[in-house]
Amino acid sequence: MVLEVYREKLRRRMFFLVLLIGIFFLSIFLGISIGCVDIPLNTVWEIIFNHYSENRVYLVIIWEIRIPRVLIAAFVGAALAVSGCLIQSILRNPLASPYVLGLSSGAAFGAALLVALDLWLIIPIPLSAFVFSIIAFLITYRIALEDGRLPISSLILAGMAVAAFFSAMTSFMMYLAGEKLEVIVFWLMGGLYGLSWEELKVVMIGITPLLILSLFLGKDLNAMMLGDDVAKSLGVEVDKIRKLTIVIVSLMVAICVAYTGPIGFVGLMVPHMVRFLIGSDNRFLIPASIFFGGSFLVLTDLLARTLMRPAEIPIGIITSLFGVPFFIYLLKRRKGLMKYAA
Amino acid sequence: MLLKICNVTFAYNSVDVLKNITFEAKEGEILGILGPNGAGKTTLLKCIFRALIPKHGVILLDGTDIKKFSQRELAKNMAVVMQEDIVAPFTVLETILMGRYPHLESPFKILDVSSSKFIEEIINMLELGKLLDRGLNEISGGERRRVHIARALVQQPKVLLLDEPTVHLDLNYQLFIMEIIKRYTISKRIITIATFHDLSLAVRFCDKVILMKNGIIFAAGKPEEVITPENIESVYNVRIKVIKEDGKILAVVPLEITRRRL
Amino acid sequence: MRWERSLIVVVIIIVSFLFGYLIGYTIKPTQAPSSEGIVIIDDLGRQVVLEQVPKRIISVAPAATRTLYDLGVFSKVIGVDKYSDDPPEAKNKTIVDYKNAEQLLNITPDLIIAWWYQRKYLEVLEDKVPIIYIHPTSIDGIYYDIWIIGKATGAEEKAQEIISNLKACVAYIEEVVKNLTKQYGHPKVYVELYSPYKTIGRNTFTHEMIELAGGINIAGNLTGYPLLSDEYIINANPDVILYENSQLSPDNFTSRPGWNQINAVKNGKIYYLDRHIATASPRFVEGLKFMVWAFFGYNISSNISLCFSNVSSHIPSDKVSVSECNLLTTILGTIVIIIKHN
Repeated sequence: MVLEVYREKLRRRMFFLVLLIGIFFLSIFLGISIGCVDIPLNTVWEIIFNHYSENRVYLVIIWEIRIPRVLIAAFVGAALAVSGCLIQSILRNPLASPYVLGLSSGAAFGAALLVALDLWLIIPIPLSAFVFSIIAFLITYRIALEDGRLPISSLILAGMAVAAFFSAMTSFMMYLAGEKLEVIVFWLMGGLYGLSWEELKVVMIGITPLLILSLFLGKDLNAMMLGDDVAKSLGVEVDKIRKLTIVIVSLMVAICVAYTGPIGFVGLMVPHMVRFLIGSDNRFLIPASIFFGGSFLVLTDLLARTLMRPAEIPIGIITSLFGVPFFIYLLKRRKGLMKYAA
Repeated sequence: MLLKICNVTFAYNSVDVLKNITFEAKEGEILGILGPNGAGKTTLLKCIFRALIPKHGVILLDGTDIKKFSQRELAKNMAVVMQEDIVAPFTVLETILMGRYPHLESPFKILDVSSSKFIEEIINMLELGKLLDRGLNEISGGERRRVHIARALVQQPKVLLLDEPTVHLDLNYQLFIMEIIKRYTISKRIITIATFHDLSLAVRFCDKVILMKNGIIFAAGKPEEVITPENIESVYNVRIKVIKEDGKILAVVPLEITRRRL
Repeated sequence: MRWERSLIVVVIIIVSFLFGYLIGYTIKPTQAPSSEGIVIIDDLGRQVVLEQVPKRIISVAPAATRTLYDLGVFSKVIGVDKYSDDPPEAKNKTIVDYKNAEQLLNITPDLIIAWWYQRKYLEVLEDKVPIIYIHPTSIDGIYYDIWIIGKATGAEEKAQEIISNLKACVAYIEEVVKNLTKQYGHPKVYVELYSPYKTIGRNTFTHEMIELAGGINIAGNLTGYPLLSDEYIINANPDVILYENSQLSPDNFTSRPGWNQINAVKNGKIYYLDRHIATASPRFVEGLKFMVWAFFGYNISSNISLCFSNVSSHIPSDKVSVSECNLLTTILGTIVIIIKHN
């Protein structure tokens, strides 16, 4: 009887999840249909399903530019949101973002280094950003490792130290870059420009298995949030799971930041927004974050492309600019919202 | 059912915290672990459910070395309530239901319907019915303690380990909880091991106690045998008066500190 | 009652800010010019006073370095920034860093010429050394800068000569272009600056150069230095692409997603635009000549070679007399000042 109420809540959570999946696909469609160039809807339809149009320009725009870009936004948004979820659960800290392990600082340094050394037209920036992101993570991991375990406090402090170091080094590269400074600053603002099917393939292949893997971690992460000892008593191999989780987070974030530059807000705030709707149970939170995060980034990218058309506003600006009011709205209404399914 | 701890030694950074600990715990009995702060009580508990791995020694549950169990299999048999009060963003009900995690085979299964009846029993037994929808951050520390006890009982363990179960609880709940635990231990025939600071409570509810000092077992046996003014003064440096009634110890009253600790 | 009080507080704060701003704006240190004194208004609207003709000039704007050379006062230049490589003799001067005020002061200049955006670093020197900031946003702006640099360095006559020659050149080019566009129409042009996708809006002199050379700037409806999206550029379908980043090659553009649709790419009309001829120095006419060639494949004949060499001489018939030039440029200058102050 007591559990009937709970079962009702579970049903509502499933409903929300299905709703989020619907919104996800809807936003992808919106993102493909709308852009700085106005293309009539039936043409869009025709191009998506028949891969043909009389108008060659429209065909290229939809097929070569918008579709890969929107899909990448969906994957990156999902990855960043899930990473935020995972890292907040692992570190038992609602203020943690996936960048807390030094990942985005490492990537920024990788990009800045290439530009400062004038190699950025020979070696692709994403490669360097990815490599240094992983290097930063490995350093953090190594520093925090104690007796084969990764205590939370050590992880946080090591991450801070590594982030600070690479941040300083990035500033140094910016100083050395001279007139190329602009290129670095622009990269740091984040953006989804210049992405094609090639990049989409890498992102999809890299991120999809990691997303699927994280779906399985929900139960164990829930237990870990009650404390390492309690988690162990509930059967969770805490050290193994913690290591696995941060490796998953690092790979996902490194891939994302390498191609899009550091995009803020999604990793930190989206998990909280989803919590207001669906509660803190990671078994729901993780899949919900995938679809919420994906939709969120697709829609903010849409705004970034169209608000000041034909100019493109760097996406990091839009995520915070529009994300924050939305977040505040949910925050204020959370008591009512959470009664429903959380 | 028998839990045997044999010659367990645990070192932390090459400092021996537990030295050659040996004792047994039987089903249907509450075993109390007493001793001053730093004696190694919590460490011992953590070795039992394998949160810590001892340097030497073996722990046998019904004759099987617990090393052979995976963390999950061990969790099906042992439940723990720790002293640490961590506030997680879950509701009371969600926390209690986590006790079923070791028994849920799939990472996606939310609830096993067969257990819902006895989950309700435990919730009612611990009077948590009204708090189910509240978040853990909205209730008091003592209420959180009751939630974790419910969570542990929901786990249907064969061994129940409690670290300072009555800390943060008011007088009423102290007795209330201990009585529930006692009844549960006897009726479900489980092994319960709990650490205590409150000697009177320990004496009242434990069937056996072990008194620890500096990582070794100073004395073990029935409460009346172990909790004597001489033992307590040796271990705690406190003079006590034991109040008996009909040969059973009613209360342990601390009188004064005999020697300041370094 | 309460909100009325906060309203009053807010009004008081706003009023005091305005007041403070007005005071700061109107109090400007003025110097009475001495008998030999030269007074000019730079592109930031500042009144710059030189007590005497400067003998030790620093230029941290490469365009100004070139201008100083063309004005024949290069021997008075004692320091240039590291990007001033035109003329090659500039490399023999002391290389200075505009961010390092100490270093600049150390070589005791009596005039500094800089870009407007370098003011942040040079502001501290403004009460010690006369500084002229240039910020030309049109070809007339370039003429104005040549004139004020000439006036400031005692080469006013030479400056006017150069300006009138340039005007004659430009007039000639305009004639040529008129015929070319009658035949071939106006090609659409995309100019890419150092940063990828960054282009020039309509309030820049590069834009004016493009229009003068018969092209249409695809970003002509925007202002400033906007960032365009792939979509927009593909849709605009430029016929010619000019890029200023010397490390790129046309291949970098063909590989961008969807760009193989673009006319310029299909016809191989992607050209490197040397910034030395697309800057605010007298050499901009060479840039115009280059553009005419890039747009129409037409080489402007060199019997107007005087425009395109370092030596100026008299051109026949359509030359405007010096005194008229004087008046003309003074009127122009005044108009520019009035516009700038509004």
